Amino acid sequence: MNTHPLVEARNLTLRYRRGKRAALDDVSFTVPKGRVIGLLGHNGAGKTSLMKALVGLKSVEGELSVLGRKPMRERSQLLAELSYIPDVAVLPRWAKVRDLIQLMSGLQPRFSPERARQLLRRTSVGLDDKVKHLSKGMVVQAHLALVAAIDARLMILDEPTLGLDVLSRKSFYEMLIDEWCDGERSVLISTHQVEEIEALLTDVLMLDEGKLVLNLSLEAIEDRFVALSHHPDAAAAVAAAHPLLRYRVQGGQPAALFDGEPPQQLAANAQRFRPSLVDLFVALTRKPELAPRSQA
Amino acid sequence: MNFNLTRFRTLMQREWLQNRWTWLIAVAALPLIALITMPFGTVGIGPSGGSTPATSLMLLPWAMTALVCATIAWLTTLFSAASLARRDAQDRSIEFWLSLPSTHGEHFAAQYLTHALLFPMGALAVGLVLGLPLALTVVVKVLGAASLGAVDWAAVLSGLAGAVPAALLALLVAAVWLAPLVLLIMAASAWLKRLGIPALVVAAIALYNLPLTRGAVRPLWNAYGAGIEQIMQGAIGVFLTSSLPNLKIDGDGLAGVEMSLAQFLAKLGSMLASPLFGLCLLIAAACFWALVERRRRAV
Repeated sequence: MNTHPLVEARNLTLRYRRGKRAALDDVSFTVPKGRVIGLLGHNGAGKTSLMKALVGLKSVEGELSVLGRKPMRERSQLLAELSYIPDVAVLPRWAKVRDLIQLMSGLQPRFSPERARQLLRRTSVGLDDKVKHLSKGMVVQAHLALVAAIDARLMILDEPTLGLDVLSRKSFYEMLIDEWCDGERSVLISTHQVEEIEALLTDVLMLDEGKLVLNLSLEAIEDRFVALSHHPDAAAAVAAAHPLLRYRVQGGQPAALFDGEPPQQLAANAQRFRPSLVDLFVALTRKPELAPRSQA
Repeated sequence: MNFNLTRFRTLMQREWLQNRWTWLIAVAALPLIALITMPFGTVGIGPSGGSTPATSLMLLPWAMTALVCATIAWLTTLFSAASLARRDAQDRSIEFWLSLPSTHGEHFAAQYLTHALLFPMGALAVGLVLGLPLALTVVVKVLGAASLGAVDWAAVLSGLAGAVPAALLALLVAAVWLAPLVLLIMAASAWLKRLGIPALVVAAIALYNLPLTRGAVRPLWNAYGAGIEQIMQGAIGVFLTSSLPNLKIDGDGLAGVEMSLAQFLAKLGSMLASPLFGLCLLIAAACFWALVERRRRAV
């Protein structure tokens, strides 16, 4: 059985010609098979640049192997083996959905037109609809159906549900997990709707200003980061323990997020709970000096 | 080299799906207007029109319609060349196309082949279809309905059989000969956007007139233009010679324009063997590379 990671990235750095800062700064990670990985980061953190590098659309320094191929050198072969949605709904406006199915059948060897039609039947998009007559959300639905009909080992989705209503987002993620993910395929998904995908993820990559500030599985996150909900009177003691983030949870109760075990005395007088990915995201991307740790 | 025939065919199919209505309207509009208006107007064939045999009168508008349609197709391609290279970036679908496994080279090769060769060839076919009712109408208008019985259909078909291969050959050579011009327009537009065409025009005028460059540029440009003329004249000459051997043009017969298919082939051969054609290929290859580079950097 092949246990080789689907993606191996070592010391990836990407600098735009006129940019002073790096879009990607010494980023290293792997994507094993059977994982659903969330790529999180603020606008401009480097998520899209990283995804474009993975599919051979941006040249990067460092070592990068995707499905055993060098993305820049073997772009078309690589794209035949993975499915990728760029960050905007960009289907050609002149085409009918039927035309797109026809064209993808000829261009993408792993594309199943039957599967695409089946997925489209779950949406409000018709085969004879022209893209230019569809709403933004419907264009996204059509694009997702087309991409999900590719029998690939790796799916790379850059803000895939932008413009979709909550029901369509839920429906897409359900399809992704229940029908597409089979334990062998992996998904790398970037989104700002962190709360919605948290339950689906197995791993998280967090980028901040081009640096990878977190690269952990969800289980490891739970082991490493501790959130404490405490009495307002304990605020000074909590602050003295230098948490990553101080915030308020539901009901206005003060809380603090710690990297590692908090001081015992503090923990004894507070209620421990699992930190959400959003809180962790806020904590880590506000603290760019935090060094990345290797994957657990 | 990572070339895939299925992908290439699909990319050509994309051109058809995207442009079919524009192409059909551009090519068929003129013959259809002629066909619709002809019954209500008069047809003049010149001083000897009335004495022109029905067979020749049948063949002339039929084949001319086909040639005119092919020429319109080429003009459409030339006029749309500036927008071809930028269209995917303009409608933002470039990200979609780049997310699919095709190479930049395949993309532009399929685009050029479809617009510069298959479209004009298709236009020729459309012209042949529309040319038949048009020719029938002309014969009826000029010689009367009874003259349709005098048309020698075997001669008409054999005339077309001689003319069509010449036209196809001319279109093939035109696609190669005009490649540097079309690809230069595309590359300039891809890199300089709206300034591409004005920049090309200014550069061409400057190179043609500057004392430093005109000595080299003028003969090349004139020879290039003469090449286009030769292709067109040759195709028309072969058509006239093969289909209308007895046609009188102002009483001079076909003197000056007559050309056999073999002569046309020889003429094309000498054109393609010239150093100018080598230069054309070099310019076309450089423009093709510039287009690929621009698309590679599109996202």
